[in-house]
This record gives sequence, C-alpha cells and structure tokens, in this order.
Amino acid sequence: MNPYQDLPPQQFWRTQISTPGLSEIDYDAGRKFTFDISADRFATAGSCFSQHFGRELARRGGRLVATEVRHPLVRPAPNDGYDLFSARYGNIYTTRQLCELIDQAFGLREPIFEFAQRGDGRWTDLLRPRTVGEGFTSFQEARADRLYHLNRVRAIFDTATVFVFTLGLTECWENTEKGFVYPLCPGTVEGTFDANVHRFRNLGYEECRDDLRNFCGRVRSVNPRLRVLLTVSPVMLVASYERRGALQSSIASKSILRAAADACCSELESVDYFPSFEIISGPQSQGMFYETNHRDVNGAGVSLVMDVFFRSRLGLARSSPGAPAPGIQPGQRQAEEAARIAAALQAECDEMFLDPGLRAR
Amino acid sequence: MGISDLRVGLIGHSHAVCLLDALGNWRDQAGLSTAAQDRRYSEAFRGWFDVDLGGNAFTLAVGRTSFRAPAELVTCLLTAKASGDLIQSRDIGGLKQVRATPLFARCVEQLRNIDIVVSALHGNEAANVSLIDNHPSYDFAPYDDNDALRLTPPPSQPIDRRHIARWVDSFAQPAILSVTALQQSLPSTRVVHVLPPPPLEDPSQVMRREVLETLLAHHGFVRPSLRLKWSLAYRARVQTALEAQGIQVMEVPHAALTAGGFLRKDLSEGLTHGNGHYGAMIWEALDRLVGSAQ
Repeated sequence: MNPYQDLPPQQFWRTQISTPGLSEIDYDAGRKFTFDISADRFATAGSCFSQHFGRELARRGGRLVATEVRHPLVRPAPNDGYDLFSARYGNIYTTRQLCELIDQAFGLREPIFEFAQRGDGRWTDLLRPRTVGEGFTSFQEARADRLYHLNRVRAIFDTATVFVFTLGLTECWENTEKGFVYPLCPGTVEGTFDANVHRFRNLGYEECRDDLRNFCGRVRSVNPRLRVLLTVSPVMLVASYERRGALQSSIASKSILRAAADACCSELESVDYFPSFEIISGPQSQGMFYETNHRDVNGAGVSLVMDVFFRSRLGLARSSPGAPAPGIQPGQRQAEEAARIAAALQAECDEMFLDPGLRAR
Repeated sequence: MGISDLRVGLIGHSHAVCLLDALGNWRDQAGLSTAAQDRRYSEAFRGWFDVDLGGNAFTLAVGRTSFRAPAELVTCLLTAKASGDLIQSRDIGGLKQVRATPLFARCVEQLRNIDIVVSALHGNEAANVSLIDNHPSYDFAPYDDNDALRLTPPPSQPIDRRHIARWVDSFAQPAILSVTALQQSLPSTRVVHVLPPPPLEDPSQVMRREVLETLLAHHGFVRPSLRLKWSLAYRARVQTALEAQGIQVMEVPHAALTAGGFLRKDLSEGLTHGNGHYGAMIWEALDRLVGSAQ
C-alpha cells in the first residue's frame, strides 16, 4: 500500500500522456471549474495568443463581454484595436501592466497620460501604441480617449463572469519618474527612448504572483462572482534584454509566470489555470505546434488548444460549427482554419517590433 | 443701393420657406395653399409633401414690409415632393463627375437676367444624426483645451474629428455641389447661399415633429451641446467650401442666437427651421451684405 496506488490515471505520465494519441490526451486534468457557454460571459486580455480565445469563443457561440466597441460613426480601419479584446487595451504582456491598468480603471491611481506625437502630427498612447493605429488628432483627444478607455475597462467587471488572462512576458520597461511599465519599450514603435527615464525590468516570481493576487482581489471586490482563468502563452520571446540567450530568457520567463499562476490557483478558489503552454510546448508535441522559427505557434497548435478548451471547459465537441462547404474536404477545412489562425497570430503580435530584423521585413 | 433695388431670385428647399413667409402671402401663387395639411407639420409647410412644383418658378410681388425687401422675387421652390435630385455625381475612371439634372437646369433657366440669386438649398442633411439620440453615447473629441463646448465625460465616447469630418462632408456635399453648380450655371449672377439656422436648445416643446416623430418618440433628442456641434460643423464645412470658390455665404444673424449659440425659440418653426421673423432678419442681413458690397 502506498499513496500513489489509488490515484486516477491522468496523474501518471504513462496513462495521461504516453498511452493515448495526441488528440485523446486529457490535457486539462485537474480543472477546478467548467463554464456554461450560454450563461457565462467571458472577458479576455493578455498577450497576442489570448486573442484567439475571444475570437473562437464568439465563433462557437460564446458570449463575449465587449465594453469598448467601434462606434457606429467610426469607420473600421486597420489596427483600430476593436474586436480583439473586451476593451481596446491591445496586448497586455505583463502582470504589472494588467495591475496598473486595473488600478487606473478602478480609480486606485491617477490615469497615466503618456503620449507621443508622431511624424504625421498625430498622437499615440504609449500604453497601447499599436492598438489605436490611426492615433489621435490632438493631445487632448488622446487624453479624453484614455479616460473613456479606463471607464470601459472598469465596465468589463460589471458583467463578466469569467476573465481569461494569458500571461506573456516578465521582461518590461518602466518609467522610473512616473512609476509605470510600458507594453513595449519606448522608441521601438513610437516615442523616444530616454536612458535617464526608461529602465529595463524583469519581474520576478514574487512580483508576478503578487500582481496576480492584487488583480484578483481588486476585480473580485467589485464582482464576487467573477472567476479568473489564467493561461501562459506558449509563444517565445522575440528578444530579451537580459544578458543571456533568448531561449534561456523565454524558459525563465514562462517558468516564472507558470509558477505565479500555480501559486494563485492554489491560494484562490476563484482562480484556475488552463494549460495552453503545456499543450504546445510539452515534450508530447515534439515541437510540431511551433512554426519553423521555433517561436510562433502554428495554426494547428492554436486549433488544438482551442479544441481542448472547448471540450474540457465547455463540453463542446471539437469540430467547428457548420458543415463543410460543398467540395471542401474536412482536412482541407482544417488546413484553411490553421492558416487563418496562423495569419492572425502573425499580424497581431506586436512584440516583434523589438527585433529590428523582423521589423525590416 | 440695397436689396430692394435689385432683381432678386430665390432657389431653395425647406429653408427657403422662412424667407418667403417674411414677405407675405406667397402660397396662393405657389399653388400650395389649397393642399391638405399634414398634421406632422405646421401651417408653414402646408402642401410641402403633396405638391411638386416641377421646377417652375413663380414671381412674387412683394408688398409693404417693415424691412428692406426685394420688390419682386422670382422663386424656384423645391418641395419635399419635388421629383429627383438637383445634381448627379458618378465616378468615371476614378474621377468624380458632377452634372446638373434636368430639374436643376429648368430652375436655373428661370433665374437668368437676375442680379442676385439667394440660395437656401439643402441644409437639413444632418438632421437625423444631430437630432435623434439613437447612437451609443458619444461626443466630438476635443481639438484642444479651448473648445467652447465642453466634452461630455465617459461613458460618452470621444469620436475623432477625422470620423466626424467624414460624416459632415457627406452631409455638406449636396449643398456644396448644388450651390457650386448654380454659380457655374449663372456666372454673371451674384449667388449668396443662406446657411440653415442652428438648433433650438430645447426642442422638447415642439409638438409637430415632422418626419422624425416616430424615431424621436423612441429614442429621444440628442443633448443640446452635441446638436449644436453638428450644426456648427455642418455650417463651417459648407461655408468654407463655398467661400473658397468665391461664393458668398450668409451666416446666421447674431441677433437670432441665444447666449449659448442656439436659435431663439421665438424665431423657430418646427424642429429645424426658422419662421417668418427669422426670414425677415435674413433679408435685413442680405440687404446689409448687398449694401456693404457697393
């Protein structure tokens, strides 16, 4: 007799991973809670990988919270930041960025007005530099839009029952004078880098954990029904400012984020974890879900993650709704779907602006 | 020399009615007085939706007025029943081609041999968006800290002026194109375009709500400051475009405005128009404009 004798099969590597085929693996074993696609209202935020949650949820009939939507008087434009997340915050890569956004939205700190004027005279919000692609006509408009944005971020928590947050990075750049972090290093996309003001920061485990704790506490204080689903992006770093390889920094970063998520799940009943990172990067996948650059996740990988999520958390079959169009074979449809997702991934991952080699393409 | 010394023509849509009402009874001459009264409209718009004047002008002999007015007015009135547009535009090889319709050509022909043509063409194109509160709350994004009309705070969404400008441009194009075509068709005639009046600050007391009755009952009115912003933006766009082509534009007389820049209630007709008293103020202003140009 020993404590392992009566454990369920998914707690053994052999029975969870080695024996079943890839698509039959119960990746999400140990889930704390499941969701109701017709009753739950999902809000999403995080790195570029998290955009797929929202997109796929909507496609499969899920109810998305969207508090900041394109106004009927506004003509759609490329990179206008709508329809990606619940509000127009763009990619939120770090736990610190998330906390600072929530603190502003909840009035726990003054709004951060950090704008830069572009070459064409228009203004960019450096806290979401690629989200409002056409920028703002004036500083005053940028300021007004930021206040509106914060109001809409706050409104998410009036109606959402689930908040899905994909943790992306630990490395960030902070403004030491004003005490906040940027989503992207100033000077890479917009703004000017100032070595006297802008300082590199790599958030450690305790900082990430505490950020997540703080975030959960704040949002649950206004919406006690809210459940938080954390996931770690399997997309590796484009660039690291640490004096070590991008691979080491990627693994260090993901490990810290994974550990911070684990700590919060253990501590907080309302927080759960979904294993996107493990599905893509675990040894069982043998790297097949990465693009040839070994960094970006390919369409098949995203599809698998989403299928697992919908099957495990929403009890939905893995196939997409709707019959294939006449003349289209299921395999062809899957390939098209994968290509669509891969294209979306490529288009919306603005972290690539850190690498001048990628930027020049 | 004033306006009473000149041969004057008038061409216009509904905003021409106040100019005619200022001059006395004209409906018999126009053939509108016997038409049925549409209950949505005041007496000023009797027949407006039932009678098509077909681009035929009528000449009004103006009696005694308390202000300097034209002695005679050749009027081409385009009622809501008027069949067809004045201008047709189409893209040919990526270029916008504009041409006058037969209706417009007929109107223009009757306005030849006239010294000054007053245009009250169009002017209500922004009425729906500026009156009916059927959009999620929004406001014009501020240009700077000196905007006279304050920005409404969140959850009202500030809309970038680029987007506002696109809408205003689409509303203003009919007036700009029509008046431009009018001046080009009458190159030796002085054309003065009269801008529509600003909105009422409180239109809730207006009982006859014209074609907007149902929508207003459902959605209510846009707040006053936003209605005024649309009106100012529309008027500025038309004025800038026409003046750039050397066409004179008659602004709203200052005395017709409240302190906040709205149309005085005693000068209004329905939701969007001026009344005969307002029309008299316009004639007085036109007289000054003509006099000052001598």
